[in-house]
Amino acid sequence: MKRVGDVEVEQDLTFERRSYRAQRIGQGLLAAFVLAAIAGFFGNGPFDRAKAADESGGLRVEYPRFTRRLTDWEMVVEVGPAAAQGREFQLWFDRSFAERFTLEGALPEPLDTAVDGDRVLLRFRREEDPAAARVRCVVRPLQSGRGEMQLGVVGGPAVTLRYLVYP
Amino acid sequence: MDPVVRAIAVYVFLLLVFRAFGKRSLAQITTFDFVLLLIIAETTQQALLGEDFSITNAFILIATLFLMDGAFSFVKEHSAWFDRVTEGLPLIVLKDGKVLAERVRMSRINEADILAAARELQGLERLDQIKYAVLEKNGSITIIPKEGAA
Repeated sequence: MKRVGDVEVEQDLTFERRSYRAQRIGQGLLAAFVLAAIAGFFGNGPFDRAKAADESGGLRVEYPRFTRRLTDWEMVVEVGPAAAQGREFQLWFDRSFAERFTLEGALPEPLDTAVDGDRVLLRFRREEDPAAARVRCVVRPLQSGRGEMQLGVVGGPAVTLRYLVYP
Repeated sequence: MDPVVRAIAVYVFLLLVFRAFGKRSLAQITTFDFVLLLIIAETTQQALLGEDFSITNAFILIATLFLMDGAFSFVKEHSAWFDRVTEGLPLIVLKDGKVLAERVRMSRINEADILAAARELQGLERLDQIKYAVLEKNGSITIIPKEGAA
């Protein structure tokens, strides 16, 4: 055991100075972590809003690009008049949707849901006179990690959503 | 596997956070610190359990946390370096009545903390009655009084 003056104490000033620097770096990293959270890099903030639209403008999706596992993830799907004619239209999600998400709800409520091969289909009624039909879907990610999901209108355009789900 | 990973992640994260804020982060708990601790515990509990409130999940988490703690203690026992890094070292912050300014600043304490420890532990009235004040690994301050001062 080292002796400092009359006291036997395991003191190491070089270590203390290094430790102090490491603590300051750690505090800085924690502050950066919180700032990133405020900015939305972990979801629910200005930097996490993403848009995906097809070139014709027939389908447009607004969604958060960052989310967290088992929390609600809300996307707004706008289907333009050119993308789906008639009183009804069907949205489809690719297989990764069924594997990685659960559908918690949709507004307006789908008339029915079905599985067709690799796709999950949701049929909606189109309102009387909208410029674009708007569907709000709430899904819940079951797995964490980076991913891509295809979403489209049956017989119409499709877009790819890129996202990151935190654990 | 999921609860085990969550327990390890939460354990390591808490260890890093408490280490980043130094020895004194919870050595002197004020009423507000106590409330903060309860909030941290509640937040941690939800992150650990997720949506699984089963007794099996609770047992897995408890076992993992105990094993993590045991494993850390074992490594600390066998590696002086790891013990230093995770627990820190004691530091003399006052010698012969004189506060060692750089060390006090690095440790995020002040003269008032040393005086409070001196009053509480030794019944001392002034700094010049203290021979050594040592900030221990657990964040407490040990006071060694000058001869005849106590």
